[in-house]
This record gives sequence, structure tokens and C-alpha cells, in this order.
Amino acid sequence: MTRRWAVRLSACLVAGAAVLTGCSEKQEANESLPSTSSPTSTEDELPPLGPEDLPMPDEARTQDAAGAEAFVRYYIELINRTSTVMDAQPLRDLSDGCRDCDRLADNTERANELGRLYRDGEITITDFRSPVIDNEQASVGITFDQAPLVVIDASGNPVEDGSSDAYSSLPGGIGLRWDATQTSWLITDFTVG
Amino acid sequence: MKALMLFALGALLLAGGPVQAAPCGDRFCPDVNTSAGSLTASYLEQTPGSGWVASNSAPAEHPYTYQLSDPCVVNDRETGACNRADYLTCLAPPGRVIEDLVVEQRRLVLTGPDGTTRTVDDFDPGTAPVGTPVGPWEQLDRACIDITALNPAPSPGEVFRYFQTLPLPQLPTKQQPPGNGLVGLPVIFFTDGPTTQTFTLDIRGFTVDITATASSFTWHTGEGTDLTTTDPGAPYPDHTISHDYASGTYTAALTTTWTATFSIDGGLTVPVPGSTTTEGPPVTFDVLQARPVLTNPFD
Repeated sequence: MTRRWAVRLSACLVAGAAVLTGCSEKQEANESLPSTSSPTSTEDELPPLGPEDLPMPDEARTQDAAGAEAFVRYYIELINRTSTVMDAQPLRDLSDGCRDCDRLADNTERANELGRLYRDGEITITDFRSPVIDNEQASVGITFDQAPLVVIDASGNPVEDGSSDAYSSLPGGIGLRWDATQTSWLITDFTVG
Repeated sequence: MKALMLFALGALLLAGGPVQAAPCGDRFCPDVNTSAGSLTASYLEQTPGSGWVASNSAPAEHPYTYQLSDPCVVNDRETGACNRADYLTCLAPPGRVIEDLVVEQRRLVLTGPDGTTRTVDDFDPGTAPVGTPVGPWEQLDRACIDITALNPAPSPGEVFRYFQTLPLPQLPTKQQPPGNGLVGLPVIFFTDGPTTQTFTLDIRGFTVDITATASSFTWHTGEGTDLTTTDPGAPYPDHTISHDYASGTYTAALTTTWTATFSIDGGLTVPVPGSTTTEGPPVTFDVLQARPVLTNPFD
């Protein structure tokens, strides 16, 4: 009985010492809060889509109105990205027969082959109306401004070919199709006017 | 006359309906709302026994407008290439224009309650007025659609069908030496018929000028071999086509392959998508074996 109490007392003292020792040592504070949405296993992670410098956000990869809106905003950012990187492949990768999207990609690749660059031309969404979801299809209505686009040739001089004036309050109708295999929306139409 | 090929290309590109894209920069442009190579229709209905019929006579407050595109045009913009499945022919009664087309529809702004606006499925039309198309184009079915009421300009496929019926010359086979040939002396072939013909047709009120050209000549020698040339040959000494025969009797003939270009109402000249052939009248001749014979010149 006496021996048993002695073992318990020793254990408590060791534990107490450990606690006291731990408290007395300096530790760096954890600056990030634990995330409740972080995946618990690699099986939950979505395969990345989009370029490394502008990956598609997870919120654009849900089959609902919020996902459709996030996807459209992301796609606009991909278009704007060609003002700094003449890379149209992401526009193609996420296009499912979208003729105007493919036209933009064609234009970008043609300009790139000629050694040209884009300056400005940024598209800004000024009004975003609630997407209409119909099974795997979504229809999105937006209004957007487009800044003047200046095409710069290999010598650094602006060229008329491909350049455009500013447009404001352009109505845009965007069609989307849900692609379950990629867990992503794809753009099927981008009609302006 | 027999048809060799039929390519139903972007037929509607030349039609009166398409809205051509306005010049614009490398990004988005306003007021370009119909793809090149497409027809627009305000109404599309499926009638019992007659299939799909497109027109521009829509009832009031019809919720959609339509765009009709050649499958090749649609497929090309999606995959960058057309394939054989794109070339289908729809049966059309005389006087009707029925084409294999892909249908897309777009919402129209409708009158809502209390002076508001709406669309058929509550897609928010924003501030667009009644009758304005809004939202994206949505692809529907592909079908044979009667587009007679849209009065489209003749498609290349339709022009080709007319081209097949034209009275093209049946070019004759000419051979030298005339009459019998000799073994060891090549027989020269040529034709002296017209190798270009121009026709002016009236197809549903459109003036279509077709210029047919003999583009290939297949000379059937009569002994089992064919010679194919791109020129009609010429008589001696400018001949380009000849054949050596063994002795015998032969029947030679010429098959001429015709290609063509056409223009509608004096517009752009484009190729007719296909060719046709004519068979010329055959000629029969003997090829003789010449043998030396000693003769007395004083006999």
C-alpha cells in the first residue's frame, strides 16, 4: 500500500515537472488557425486545374450557382492573364465549343507567334446576375467593361491589328456545362450583345 | 454522268442570312451575336409528317430565337476538323430546301407583369428591353430542317446537285495516226472538245454562275490499262499522251472529270464541293504488225 502511493506520487511529480518545464520554455506562436476545411487525406484533394500561376479555386468547382459564378469570374481572370502571359491554353482547356473563347485563344496564339504582346484590355465584371442552373447546364448573365487593348509588336510599337477601343457596359451571356470527370464547369458559350 | 464526291461544307456561309463578324480586336466585340456560317430564324416548329420547319414568322412572345449551323461548322469550331459524319444529305421534295443543321436557341426578353420583363425560365434579363436576345446560345438537336421559308442562298451542296445535271461536253477521243495503227509506232491520244464551259442558272431566284473545267482525263486504252492526265493532249508533234499497242483491235474511250467554281449573284467565287464525269464516245481501231517484204522496184 505504501509502495503503491509512492509510485503514484513519483508519477505525479514527473508529470508536474514536465508540465512546468514545458511552460518555462519559449515556443513560437502558431500564426495560422486550424482549418476545418483542409482535406484529411489526399483522396479529398481535387486534381489541380488551370495554370500554376493562376490555379482554379476550389469554390469554382461546385455544381451550384455559387460554383458557376466563381468559375465565370475565374475564366475572366484567365482572359485578363493573357495581358501578362501570352498563354491561351487554359482558355482552351476550359472551353467546350465556346466559339468566342476559342477565338480569343486563336488571337492570342497568333499574336504570340508574331512576337506580339498585349497591354491592358482588362475585363471587369460590373454586374453579375444569378446563374440559372438546369441539371448540368448553367446560364450566366453579366455586364462588363473592357479596357482598351493595345497590341505591341516585337519592336515594342503598338499595332492596330488586334487592338481595340474601350467598351463599357457590354452585356454578356455565358453558357456552362458541368464536367463531372474534372469536377469543373466548362464554358460552352460567351455571347456578347 | 456520275458523282464522285459530295462535301456539304459550310454551306450557309454564302447564304443571305448570316451576320458577318464586324472587325474587332483580339478580345470581345459588341454586337456580334451570330456566328459566321449560320442562319437565324425566329421560329422553329416540329410539324406532324413534315419534320422541323424554320421560319421568321414567330407568334407573339415566342421565348426564343434560333441559330441554324452546318454541322461541319459546329464540329470544326469544337474540334478543329470536320469528319465524314458531318456530310449528310436530307431528302427534300422539289422546291423545298431541307438541310442537316445544328440548332441553337437563345432566350428573348418577354413582357412580365406590371411592366416588368422576364424570360421563359427566369433567367434575369437585366435592363434589356422586350424582344432582345439575352444569355448564351444553347445547343439543341441536330436535324434535317426545312429552311425554305428563310430563303437561303443556294448552298455549295445544293449547287453541286445542280452541277451534276448540267449538260457537260462528252469529249471525244482522237487518235493518231488516224485509222489503223502500227505496232512499234505509239498511238497518240488527244481530245479537241471544249475543256471549259460556263452556265448561268436560276436557283430559287438566285443567279448562280458555274464555270466547269475539265480537270482530269482518263484514257481507256482498250487493252486494260488507263492513262490519267491533267491535260487534254495534243496532236503530233506537240503530243503529250501516247500508248504502245500490240497488234489487235482496240476500243479506246475518254472519261473526263469536271470540277467547277460558282458565284451567287455576282458574289465571291468558290469551288463547287465535288466533281462529276462525262464519258466520251469510244473509237475502235486496228493496230497492225508491219512486216518487211522484198519487192522488185522494177515489177
